[in-house]
Amino acid sequence: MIPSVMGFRFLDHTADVRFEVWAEDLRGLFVEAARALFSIIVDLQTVRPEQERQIEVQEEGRDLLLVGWLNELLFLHDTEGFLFSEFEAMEVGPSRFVGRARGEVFDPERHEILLPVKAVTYHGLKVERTAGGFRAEIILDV
Amino acid sequence: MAKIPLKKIDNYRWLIPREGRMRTEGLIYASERMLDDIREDQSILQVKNVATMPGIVGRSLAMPDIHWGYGFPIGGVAAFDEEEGVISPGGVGYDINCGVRLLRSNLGRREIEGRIEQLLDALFRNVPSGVGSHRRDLKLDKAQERKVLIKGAQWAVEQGFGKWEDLAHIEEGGCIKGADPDLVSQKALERGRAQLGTLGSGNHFVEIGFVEEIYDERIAEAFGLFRDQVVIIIHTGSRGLGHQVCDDFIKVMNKAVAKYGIELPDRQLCCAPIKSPEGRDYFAAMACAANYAFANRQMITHWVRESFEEVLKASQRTLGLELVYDVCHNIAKFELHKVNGKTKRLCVHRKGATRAFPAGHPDLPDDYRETGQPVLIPGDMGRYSYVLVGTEKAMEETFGSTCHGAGRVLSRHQAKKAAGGRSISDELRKRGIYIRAASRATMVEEVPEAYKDVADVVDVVHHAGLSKKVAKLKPMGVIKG
Repeated sequence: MIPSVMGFRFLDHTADVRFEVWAEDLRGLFVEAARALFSIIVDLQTVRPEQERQIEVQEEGRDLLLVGWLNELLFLHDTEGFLFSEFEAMEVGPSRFVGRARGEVFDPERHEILLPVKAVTYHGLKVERTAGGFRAEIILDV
Repeated sequence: MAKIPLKKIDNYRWLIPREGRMRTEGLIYASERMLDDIREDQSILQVKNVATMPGIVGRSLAMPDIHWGYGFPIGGVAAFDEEEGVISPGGVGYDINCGVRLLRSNLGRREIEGRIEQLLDALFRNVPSGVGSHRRDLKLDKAQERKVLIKGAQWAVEQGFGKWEDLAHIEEGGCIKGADPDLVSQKALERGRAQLGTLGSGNHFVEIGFVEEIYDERIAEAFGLFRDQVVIIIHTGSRGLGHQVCDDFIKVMNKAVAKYGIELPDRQLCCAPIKSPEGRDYFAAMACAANYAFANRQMITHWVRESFEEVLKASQRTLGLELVYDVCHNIAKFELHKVNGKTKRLCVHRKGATRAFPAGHPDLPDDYRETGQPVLIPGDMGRYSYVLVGTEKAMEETFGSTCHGAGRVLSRHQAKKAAGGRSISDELRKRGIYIRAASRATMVEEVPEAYKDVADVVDVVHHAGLSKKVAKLKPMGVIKG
């Protein structure tokens, strides 16, 4: 049973991390997926939304846009040490996504990395319409 | 999901008969007991899926440490015909040339007992581990990075990291030919510049251990190994650069699949003909990432040597710390193999598998020509690791490949549950193993019981003849990212 209109939960997968996200609309789905990704990496409560980054992705299809958005966030995490805790989806078109993420740079004094994530994979990737909106399934390489 | 029928060939070989769109059979190396675990996930289906790929030569193979990957199973080996076959980023994985190297020393374990924590502290200081850490004395500009990608470990030696003699003891001499940095995206380059010379996090580690048992005296001696000797294992890969190359080329290959009309059961298997522009470009970019990983392990080796010198106040000559060997665990390479009596050039994908070339193979350095290639199989942090040697049987059956490690049995979530409330570092210390970890959480994910017993994995490849046991190594101290 899906407990609320928007959320995520982890599914079982031996080697990697697999999760399911759901929301009433596509914008919500992209926001929840990003929240899920960063809540795997860090306790979101400890991340201050001090700096903002805008992200634009061009890909064919919602599923590739979703992976593209998450991988862009990981790229900023990897290169600049960003941790994000707040997300906004401004535009979800068929081949373009624009979103924003707010967070801060990793500070070993205040943040603990719970699980480092290498990449968002395309394996078993699903973005589908449901009775109540949309759901997605994503596997991370960790 | 319906159980996929397997045909038992012998105690260590299980055939997946050809059916549907499979172009060849699948073959899993495992004991009957291990099969129950393997059946828990979808890895057998993944072996079948790989068997449907164009130009596959021989069988779609899985080593006993097989587990559920993305696209290809982890522990999978597949060879493709150079003319008609495909190359697939999913057959290599995100951490391109994730690999292991083993250093031997002139020290007996008693000589460093009581110094382990000091050594770990020095290693932890000198080898950047965990998110965002890097050496302050290391700045890599764009021109330097290109050289790293072209030259691999050779670049590192030129910069003073390690010795020229190290290179002969690295798979491919620490440099895969055909690397072209122009095919690596700006993003991948950016990730790479920040992370060269870092261990990374997750399952990557540097371990101080000792030789606990020798199975083959003659070969152990040729590898320079003796009982109670202190040894060091380094496990890391190509970091964010490799992940980005993989992600970039999965996108390229997704389009290539449509362009070349390749039908696949799983998008993560996306690939392109080896001789197509997409296929060639991927190989050239993958080679860059592989070379980056070779350079990375070479630099870390240098800092390991410095850490030992610093703590033990002895010269490298006294300490030894020679490189036994360095092997890739995630790689695609062009190699010559006999197929139906004819020598052919094949593109061998090893995803969580190790090359295991036999005695007499021309790619081996002179000092291992008569023994065969050293194969390094790390286990979990609480138990042991193995040194094996390559065999002729592996050449005949698995394109010169064998297993790569323990393989997970518990998901990370289950591992966390199993470790709930326990102090993993205290438990390990009671067993004589000290840990320094950048993050407590990643240590919990890697609790020993999350992994198969690597001894079971090694027994399968030993009895199946894919490689032979040479020595068992026991950990004394580990640093983790």
